[in-house]
Amino acid sequence: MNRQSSLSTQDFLAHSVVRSGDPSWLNTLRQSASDRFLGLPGRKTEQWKYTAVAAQSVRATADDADTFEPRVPQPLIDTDAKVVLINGDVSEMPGENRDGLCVKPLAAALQEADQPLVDLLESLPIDGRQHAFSQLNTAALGQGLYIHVAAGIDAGELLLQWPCGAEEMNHARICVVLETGARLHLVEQFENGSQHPAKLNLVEQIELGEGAELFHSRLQHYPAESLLIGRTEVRHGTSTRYSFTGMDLGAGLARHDVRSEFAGEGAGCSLNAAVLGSGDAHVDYHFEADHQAMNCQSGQLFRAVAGDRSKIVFNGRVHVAPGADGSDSQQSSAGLLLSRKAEIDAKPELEILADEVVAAHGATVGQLDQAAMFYLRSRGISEEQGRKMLTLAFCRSVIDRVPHEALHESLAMRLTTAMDELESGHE
Amino acid sequence: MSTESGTIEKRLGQKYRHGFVTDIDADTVPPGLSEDVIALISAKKNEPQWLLDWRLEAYRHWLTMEQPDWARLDIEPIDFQAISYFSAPKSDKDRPQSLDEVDPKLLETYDKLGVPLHERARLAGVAVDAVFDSVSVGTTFKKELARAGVIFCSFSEAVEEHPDLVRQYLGSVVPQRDNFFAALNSAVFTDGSFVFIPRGVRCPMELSTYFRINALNTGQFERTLIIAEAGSHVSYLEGCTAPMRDENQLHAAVVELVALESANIKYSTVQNWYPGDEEGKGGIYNFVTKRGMCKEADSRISWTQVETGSAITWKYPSCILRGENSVGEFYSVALTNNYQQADTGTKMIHIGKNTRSTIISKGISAGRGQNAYRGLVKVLPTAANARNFTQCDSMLIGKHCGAHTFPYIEVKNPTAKVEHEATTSRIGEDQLFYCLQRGISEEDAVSMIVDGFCKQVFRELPMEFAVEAKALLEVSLEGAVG
Repeated sequence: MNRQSSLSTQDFLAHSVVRSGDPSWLNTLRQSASDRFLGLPGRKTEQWKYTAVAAQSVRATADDADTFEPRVPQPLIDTDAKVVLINGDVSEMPGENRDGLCVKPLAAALQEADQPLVDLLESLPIDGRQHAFSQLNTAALGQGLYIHVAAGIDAGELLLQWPCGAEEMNHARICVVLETGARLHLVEQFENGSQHPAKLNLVEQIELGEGAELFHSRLQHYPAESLLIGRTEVRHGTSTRYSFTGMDLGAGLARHDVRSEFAGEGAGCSLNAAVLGSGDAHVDYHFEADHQAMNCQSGQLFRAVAGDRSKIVFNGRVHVAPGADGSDSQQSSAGLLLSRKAEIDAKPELEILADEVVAAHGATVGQLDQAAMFYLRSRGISEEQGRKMLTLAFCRSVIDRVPHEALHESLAMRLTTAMDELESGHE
Repeated sequence: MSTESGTIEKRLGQKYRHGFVTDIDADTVPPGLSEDVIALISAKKNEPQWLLDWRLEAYRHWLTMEQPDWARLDIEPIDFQAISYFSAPKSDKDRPQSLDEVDPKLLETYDKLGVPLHERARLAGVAVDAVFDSVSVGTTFKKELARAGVIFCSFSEAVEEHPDLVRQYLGSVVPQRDNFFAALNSAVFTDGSFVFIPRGVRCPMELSTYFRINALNTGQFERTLIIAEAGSHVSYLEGCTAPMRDENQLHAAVVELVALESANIKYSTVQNWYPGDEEGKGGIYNFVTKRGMCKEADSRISWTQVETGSAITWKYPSCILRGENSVGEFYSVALTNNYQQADTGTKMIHIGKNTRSTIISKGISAGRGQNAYRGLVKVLPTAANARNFTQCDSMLIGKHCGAHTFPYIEVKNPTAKVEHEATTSRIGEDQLFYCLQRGISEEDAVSMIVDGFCKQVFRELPMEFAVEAKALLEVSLEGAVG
């Protein structure tokens, strides 16, 4: 039996955010975040216009949630560098860290309180109702991970698994610091080994030192009725690269905010996501490339397939600050509506305040190409099969950007399976 | 580019040509807004009780509203109690029967502006309902239009002579409570134009209204209502110039269009109000609500605008595509120079089956101008096979200006097809280079490039307007290459 419950302030800030025994800077940070909280964003908060959580009732977990231990799913890729975070809390760490790669529970790092980490935590902008979830996250700061890659090290892949499923919302923070010339491929798996819904509020802060490169791949396949709010803030040093590829196949409500801020010249980012909406899923992606420095490049690619009663939202923003000459930004979003009850909303924004800039975006919402369909049919391919092929191809442009072969294969397979499972298909 | 200095500044610094004040005694209500003032406006215009009630209802609702702040605009606070809500030339009580009786100073003003009133109007084939401040003072071609059954008159006249039509359609597209400025307009509007095209009639000429703000401290609250009955066709031209002034002036107009079955309304605007000086001082606040309703099947509404004036422009001419197969179009050129700000675009609401819409928006930013396109394309579940194409291009000229695009796309029907594309770039250097090395001067080259950039929109304008619009852009931009 499921029951409806609205998100409310009481759910989150019922108990004091100050924890005795923790350093005072940390408690101050938590308290000031808690003081800023004025409620969840609704339709009037522009960034949450299409995902008005304040008005929306979000399904809570089942009655037996108290006793439920989330099951860890099959890992997405085979690697020895794997961290399992159950309900946001670290439960399994890699046996031993690779050279130059340091992964530790955030709780431990908070006690050590290295200045760079403290600065990073304190630098997160959380003012305003649009950052309500970050305020809650900071108020509850404690769970999560600290990941550090030393200068010049290629740390390979690191897999984070996020089985989750408690009655209360879980808050987790991931801090990633890549020193000069470091490389890492962070793979995240938001999935439960069972059908229990998850409820997770995640904030990730990524700091890229000069010439560093981070690949970030994310699969979200939580059970229906799950709630995932994710915010990723990337701060780019000179000549850094950040590539994000997300694929969403599940959840009741999933929101991803991914923002690249170019603080150093010659940096670049590539933000990509593919969403397959089924059931009552509501998936909202907010991509932002903030060009503060000269000669930076950003690309955004979004593909949405909305079936059943799902709603998919894309908000892509490019901001070019005054003087950020040589900026180059491209944005492409496309949506396929498969059902009469589904909805796609797109808002591709450009805010340009410098003149030596190339910025362009294209956005479409429509159906599969009839000519391509006809071609396939004339080759003896059934309509259903043809539709599947074209829909897969439509999303492939996103997952083809995953640099890891096994991961790429695994994502493609899951996409195919998820498409087969679409309840209604074409109506 | 080579000409960073002299020419550019000289060209950019070109003074507003229409900056003069005609000295006429105006019958002006003291500043301030209250139910009494509204009753006074209504009484001065001999309005029926229902209209006064309608105004008061709007006013009472307006009091509960807050001025919106979502647009990407920097607006100095407006003191609504400091505005005088009614101003009419003295001759109002004794309206002129023909143009000969019109105050010669008025005609002189139009003359300076090049308004094709009087003979010139006939030569140009244009009927003019000239609005001087808030009350219409002269209307030409009435007889010719009357023969076709077309009603083209000032709003006040329509209230007196065609109350049933006004009552039926007023507020049917833009309700009193629609938004902050529309509510204000509904409460205090003084005059405007009224057009009624009967069934099956193709309006024999282009209808044109020249608006002109004149008296100091007078906000203009125009109300325009155009009704096109089944199978009719009308093209309406609106052009504006205003005298130079130091204080900001508020202009909050409302335009409502109603197109019945197979009717076709084309609404063109050239807006060249005072944009403020080089330091951004003064200038008109142009906060306008324009909306058309394609009420019945096969109807079509087309908005074309060239916005070069005003300190702040805030307008979104929209189409509600209710009738099956109805068509909405929006063609826009918006130019901001110096400290001008514009937040403009459109809304296309697809409700009926097979509805189609096209949006072409060209933004040009120079100096410290800020130019934003904001548009909504909404396809409701009922709008099967709806189709939209949107293209917004922005051109940046100079280091300190900004160009922004905020498109909203909401699709709830799987058979709909919506496409949006946008580009932002500086003026094409390769094109410029090509022209220069062919011996074309830089100014001519820029003028050509900008003209080419805007061509898609200009060709939608009626001839006379296209010429005026092109000239306007040239004046504002010649040599503005940084």
